Amino acid sequence: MPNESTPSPTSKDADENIGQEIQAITKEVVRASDEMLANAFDGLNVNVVAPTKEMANTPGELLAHLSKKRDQATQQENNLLQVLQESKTSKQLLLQSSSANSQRKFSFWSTQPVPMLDEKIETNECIEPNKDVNEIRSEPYTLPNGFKWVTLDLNNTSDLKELYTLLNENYVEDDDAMFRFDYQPEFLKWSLQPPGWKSDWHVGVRVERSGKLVGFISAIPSKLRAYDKVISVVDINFLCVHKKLRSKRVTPVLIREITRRVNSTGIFQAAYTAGVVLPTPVSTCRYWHRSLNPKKLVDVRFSHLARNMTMQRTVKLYRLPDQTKTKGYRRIQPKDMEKAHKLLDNYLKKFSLCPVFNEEEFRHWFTPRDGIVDCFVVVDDKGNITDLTSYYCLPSSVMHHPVHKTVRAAYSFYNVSTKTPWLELMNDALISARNVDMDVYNALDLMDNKQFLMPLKFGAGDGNLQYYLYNWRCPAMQPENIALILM
Amino acid sequence: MSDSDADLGSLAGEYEEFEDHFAMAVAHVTRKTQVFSSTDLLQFYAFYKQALEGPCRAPRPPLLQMRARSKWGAWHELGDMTNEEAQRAYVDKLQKLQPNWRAEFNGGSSGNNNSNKIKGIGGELGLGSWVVHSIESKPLEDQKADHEKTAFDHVKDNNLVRLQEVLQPSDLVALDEQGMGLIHWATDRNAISIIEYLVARGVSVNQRDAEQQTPLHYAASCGHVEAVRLLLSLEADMELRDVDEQTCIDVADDEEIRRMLQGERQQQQATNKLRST
Repeated sequence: MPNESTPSPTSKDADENIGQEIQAITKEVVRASDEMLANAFDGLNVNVVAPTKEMANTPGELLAHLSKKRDQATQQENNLLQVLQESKTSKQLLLQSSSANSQRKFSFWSTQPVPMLDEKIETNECIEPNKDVNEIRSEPYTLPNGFKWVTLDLNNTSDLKELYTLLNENYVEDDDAMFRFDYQPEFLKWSLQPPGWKSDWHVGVRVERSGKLVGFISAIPSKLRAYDKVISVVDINFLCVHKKLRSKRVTPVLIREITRRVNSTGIFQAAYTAGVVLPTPVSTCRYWHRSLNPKKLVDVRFSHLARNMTMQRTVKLYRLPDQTKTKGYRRIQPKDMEKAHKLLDNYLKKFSLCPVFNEEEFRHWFTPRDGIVDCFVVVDDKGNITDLTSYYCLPSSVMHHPVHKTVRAAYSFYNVSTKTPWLELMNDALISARNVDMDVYNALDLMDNKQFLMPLKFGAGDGNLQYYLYNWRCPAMQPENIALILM
Repeated sequence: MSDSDADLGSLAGEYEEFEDHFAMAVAHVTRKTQVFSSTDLLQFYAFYKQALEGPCRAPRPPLLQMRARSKWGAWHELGDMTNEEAQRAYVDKLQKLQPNWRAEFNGGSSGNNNSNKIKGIGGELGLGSWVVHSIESKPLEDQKADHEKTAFDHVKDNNLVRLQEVLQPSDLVALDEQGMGLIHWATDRNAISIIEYLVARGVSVNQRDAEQQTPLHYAASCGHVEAVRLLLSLEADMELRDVDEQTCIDVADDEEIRRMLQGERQQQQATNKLRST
């Protein structure tokens, strides 16, 4: 974890992937067992020379009997001995489980141009050199029998609706989840059709027989700066496989296929985010949440009252003024685009990982759209744009609640403060979001966000977001050096 | 819709999904060997071998190799149990011994870093998530055991059954260290059935807290429509003022509540006028 200081052994365990963990345990257990068996072997051997037949048939009794005889072994050794009744087989067992896990876990990623989890990185460069486009495989990867590739046309209402349904029902994979993202169709179009989008990169998988859409992955073109290098990348997003196909290992095929399609246009790097830890995050960010409608959030169990906290005080705590306060704060207008673009571009220079928008892209991402994205600027007396704040809207469906069906969430997008202090700017952003009935304002702890999260009463979330680069190797970054938001 | 679902079902059995639970269960047992009895571990071993290698075909170890022999015995005893059954048996056994193992696996209460673990494993294995849907972390506080809980705790938990068991007459008028009575907490939590119960047990529907707030002040300021309705039906006094000289209408959280209360006030005034004439 790049943003953790030297962890204690226990918390380190918690952070490492299970493959490594099992390997470590295996080593430890094997070492301890060898030692312990060597210590205890004589006594044991002598004492179990002639067991009765009944004992052999009831292993529990036998083991109890064995334990009793091992007077010289410590309690811990006893426990270990019970586990490792026979050193060799146990070693085998543990090694099997270890390699089964780690192989399974990273068998795919070990074939991909991504840094290894324990790799020490001091360079900022691609992992594999670019290929000649002629070298790229021209036919699609093979899907399991009964499935076929399709290219979705998001301008076609029925394709769009199908994608919406697939994501709505399967994107958050946990069946017990209380909340599911509810990406609206128009939101999907906005996020998947920025300037330069390609329909070929809206990759679907259908069941051949029924035509049902059961898988999706997408790429959009983008420029990214990693430290001092600007690279052409795609942002990979909305990787989704139908619940009933999870075990079919469709995910690796989807990733290979989108890579193939992107490579064949001469792009060899990608950026993506995920909740899961894979080889290897460039940074780990945390979500924070600011209640705008605390009563509803507690009702649906998005937030929790501490035992001695009253709802009455909670409501007061999160109450916001009716109107924004900053002089010159208003919604962005078409005439502001050029100046606002420059403001953001200039601001992003201080980060280690950020997008490099051209003006057309800026216009796409920052033009307010009802229920999708909103953007506000602060204009001074001379007409200069000094500050900017923006958020996108992504509701979550609330599962199993009698009254509330949806939580309306605003997600902090890009913010720039040059004249208006962070707290004033972002407090106004909160008010703007509250005034269109958002229930919660979410933000990651990246960019300068840590400046305002605690003072504006954001609470830490329970989810981390890992940032990844594909076919790019660079030193890990602290969240505050990251300035990239993927929906 | 249902047709294509059936189609899917036949293409991808749930069996492979089960493998993922199995892998998690193995990881859990491997980490926690010291808490299981040797008999249980022997069973886990047998299921594990059966699941990975199938029926035991190895020759029985010589009599003197007791440990090898007992393990062989446990494995051999499973006979022709299928790989799938063995995996299921493994997970079921763990489930029986440690019903909360998944939560523990997920890191229990010890903080957020651990929650990545299940996602980290699950993401690739099919459980957990590529996609992170964060919600606010639960506040860190000591959990009280049920027998330590007071009437106040049960009200805060909205647990009427336990409240009925422990409620003492002295609780009915007591204010806690925050200056609140049971009925204030019940109203703050919108715990309708507890408000009804407390009033039936003799708590004043107009009980004042340390700041002279009535239950109606709480209901109105929290925006609890149901509680406002109930308190009005129990003839709570709308005109009482707190230490800031505010009535329940003054502290109303939203327009709906304010309108409700004002409507009620007009009705009461009309009734009073009728009575006085």
